[in-house]
Amino acid sequence: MWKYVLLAVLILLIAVIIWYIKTNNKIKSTKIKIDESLSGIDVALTKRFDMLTKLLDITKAYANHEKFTLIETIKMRNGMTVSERDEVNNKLDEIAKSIRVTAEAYPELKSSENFKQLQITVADVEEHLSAARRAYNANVSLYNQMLVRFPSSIVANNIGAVKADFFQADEEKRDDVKMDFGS
Amino acid sequence: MATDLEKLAHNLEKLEKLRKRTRNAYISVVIYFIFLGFVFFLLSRNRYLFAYSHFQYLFFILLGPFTAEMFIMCKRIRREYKKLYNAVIVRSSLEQYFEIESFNSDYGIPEHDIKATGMIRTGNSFKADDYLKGKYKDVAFMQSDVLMEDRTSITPYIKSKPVTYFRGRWMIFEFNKRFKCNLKIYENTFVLSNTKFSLFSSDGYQKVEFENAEFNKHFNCYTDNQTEAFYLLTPHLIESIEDIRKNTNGGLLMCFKNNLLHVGVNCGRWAFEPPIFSKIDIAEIQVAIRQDINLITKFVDVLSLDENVYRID
Repeated sequence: MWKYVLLAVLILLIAVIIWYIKTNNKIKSTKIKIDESLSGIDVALTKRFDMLTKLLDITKAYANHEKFTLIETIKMRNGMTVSERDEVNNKLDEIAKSIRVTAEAYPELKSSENFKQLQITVADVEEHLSAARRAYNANVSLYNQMLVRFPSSIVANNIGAVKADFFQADEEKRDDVKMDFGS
Repeated sequence: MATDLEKLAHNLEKLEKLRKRTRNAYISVVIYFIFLGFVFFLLSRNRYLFAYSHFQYLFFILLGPFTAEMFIMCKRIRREYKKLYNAVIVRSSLEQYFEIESFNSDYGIPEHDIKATGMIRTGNSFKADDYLKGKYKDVAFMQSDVLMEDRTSITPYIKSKPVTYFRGRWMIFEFNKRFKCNLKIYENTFVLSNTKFSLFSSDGYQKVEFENAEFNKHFNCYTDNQTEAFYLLTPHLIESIEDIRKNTNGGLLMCFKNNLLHVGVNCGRWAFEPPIFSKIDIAEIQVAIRQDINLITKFVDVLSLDENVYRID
């Protein structure tokens, strides 16, 4: 009789160990996915920064907007926190908005082929940034759910996993920077 | 004008004659088999004939060539009818919507193009016809009817019921964004209850879920690049796919690969099929053709594939 009880306990123990390892691995692999998608945001942010700098060079030949100086305050570097990335993104939003306002005031700038081409590229980069942000937030959501849900929360507490921050893009601002493709 | 109408009337008359010939050929085959079965039944009751000779084999060997000839004749008449039907009726309807580059009822999208998507088992039997290649609103596309199934034999004479993996329409559209990932989307109703095999291969793809709970409920998505998948499926596109799902009969398959969008609609029927047992009614036929055409235009219109604002060639 004791043999069976011991066997049942042993099977249960093995099952718990397997579950623990699996949950532990899932939490860690989701964390890796978060880091990967964060690097996706970095790539898109850098590309957006570069494209807006080029666009700014063309725009400056027509007019100078006070917001254009913002670009000099942006420091793109490795290992930025999510809130720092947020801040960079917001500044880029403001610059994009001011470029759009300037283009509205100068029809010859708006109709310039080079400007139009760059506008299309910027819009595509915006899409990539938005995708990277959505992918990052989807991973963060999954990760945070594992951290608070029972029983995976036990494993998360044990390995000292902490909640990840969402990338908070201000939707209203993002709507503002939508490019106008009309000639 | 009068000559055009006369020509159309003449073609319709010819078409109706061919339809009747096709119908008669079909009926002849059915009657032939009923007769064959009846004769075989009567002869099998003669114990002497079956016990002391291999009469049953002789019976099939003698009638084999004749049966094959009947099938070939039936197929040839149907093919002739379908060709004329496509030329007289379908083509003119298609021309109202599309810039047609090629339209042929004899073949379809090649098997390897569909196989390359890795979306679905193609089985050991592949049939495709009604190949249509053209442009709609300047978006290049191709489509065909496709049947993919597995046919296995229990013995050389007895064949098991074929396992159908896909029967419906396959469309390939030029996509309006350049992308570097592969993304497979399966409507969750697309499950074959009559197969024990798994439909989908894992091949390094990871499951991806989007922000839209309704979409996640109805579709399973797999990709090799999560960020690119989010780039492809914008919130607007996700909602559009949901709209298409609500208005489409049959399981939906979508695959984004090599800057193309593959769409499979497992609707269980083929498009642009001519009537065989009912009289040719132009008004009725045109409604059916328009429905078949709408399935192509719907994807371009609802998914806004003609808006190529991000494409830099």
